[in-house]
Amino acid sequence: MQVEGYNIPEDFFYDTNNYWIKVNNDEAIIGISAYGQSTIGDVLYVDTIDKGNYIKKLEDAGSVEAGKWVGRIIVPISGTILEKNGAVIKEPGLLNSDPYGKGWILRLQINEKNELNELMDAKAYAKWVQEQVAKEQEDEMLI
Amino acid sequence: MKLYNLGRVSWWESQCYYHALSYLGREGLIICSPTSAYVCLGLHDDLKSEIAVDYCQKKNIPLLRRETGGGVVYLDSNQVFYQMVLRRDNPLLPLQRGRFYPYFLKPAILTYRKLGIPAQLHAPADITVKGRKCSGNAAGDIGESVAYVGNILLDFDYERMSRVLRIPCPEVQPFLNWSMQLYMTTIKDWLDYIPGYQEIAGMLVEGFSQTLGELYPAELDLEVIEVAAKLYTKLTGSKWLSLPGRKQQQRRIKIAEGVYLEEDAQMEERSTFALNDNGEVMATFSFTDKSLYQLQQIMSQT
Repeated sequence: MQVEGYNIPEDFFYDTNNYWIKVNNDEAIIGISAYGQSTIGDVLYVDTIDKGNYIKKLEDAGSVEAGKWVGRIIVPISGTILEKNGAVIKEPGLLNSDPYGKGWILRLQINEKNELNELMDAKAYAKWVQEQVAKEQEDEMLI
Repeated sequence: MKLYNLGRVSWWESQCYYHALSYLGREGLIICSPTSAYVCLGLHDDLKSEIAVDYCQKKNIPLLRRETGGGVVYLDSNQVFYQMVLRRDNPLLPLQRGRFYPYFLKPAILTYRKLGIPAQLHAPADITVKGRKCSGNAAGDIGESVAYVGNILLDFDYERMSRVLRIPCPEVQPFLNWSMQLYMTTIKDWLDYIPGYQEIAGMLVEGFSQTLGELYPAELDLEVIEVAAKLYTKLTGSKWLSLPGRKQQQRRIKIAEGVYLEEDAQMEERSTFALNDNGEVMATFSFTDKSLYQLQQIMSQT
């Protein structure tokens, strides 16, 4: 579906840090949503922790640099890193140009399946994005 | 918001207190100035690619890697820092962090203007005077907070900065020095005196009061000081400094927003450098010919 000009695939899960999670049995692929990448701007650098590491939900799994800002990659679910996307590390702009495809960040072995219940489906995330866009417009007024 | 007008502090304190506030989730505005020089890397700068480490060791210039973005900076007592820490859930903070810069930089721009210097914002995060950069700024998510940091340049040691940065061969150093002088400026260039810390700090505080509302003068408490001391060990440790960062195929040194000194990949000779201003080549330097003479000619014309 399209919301406020942003693509939100319907078969993914999402969280309020703008990560998408595509679940395939016991595995999950994680990336930053189209709306999420638009809020950070052109990505210049991405790095993540290596394959084999176990990471808990909301822990730091790497960092992203965009323009004059540096932020953390915070995993939305717990799991063991099966693969990090070497292409996005080599070419960080993929995160902007193809957020749901070549711009994926990590593939995880899901450790706590019940954590998926705490994520938003596409419909709930679309509503959340609409609220954020409205908030940004208010921020614009403040500045 | 709490105001920590710290005055002159040691070089590492000038970075570690805003990191400490950030990790503690405590909002505040810090104004300070370091008593001595140091080199500060951005979170993703690659130490060996960016810094002439041998030179820094020889000159006893300490190194620190901050947790905000942007590139390598040479910092010293001729600069006044303004550092704002906001909690991530602060309603003032836009999700798109870059959009906060106009708000954050307004007090610094007003400070220049009060001194009669026509400064303006050069998006996303530079302040320029007649096209020349006079302030460097950066931001980063640290712990549960976001830190925005910047400086006002009273004067700048271009010679020292051009030696601190790694360059492929020593002949490039005068070109780098000249390029920085062409695209940077300081308060010293515009006034017949250099204002003291108190004068600049006073103007910044007035400016931030206008944008943030009332500021409450505060002193650093023991908790902040202890966390800052631990962060000093971390941010200057050899393991942290050597973290892998951005690698470059060709050496590319950022001078100002959109302005780079870069090796020319189009030419076979790796010894050719170009000063690139938003896609326009302003000058080239190749020391395989009589380039030093040419460089002197270019410099004398500017």
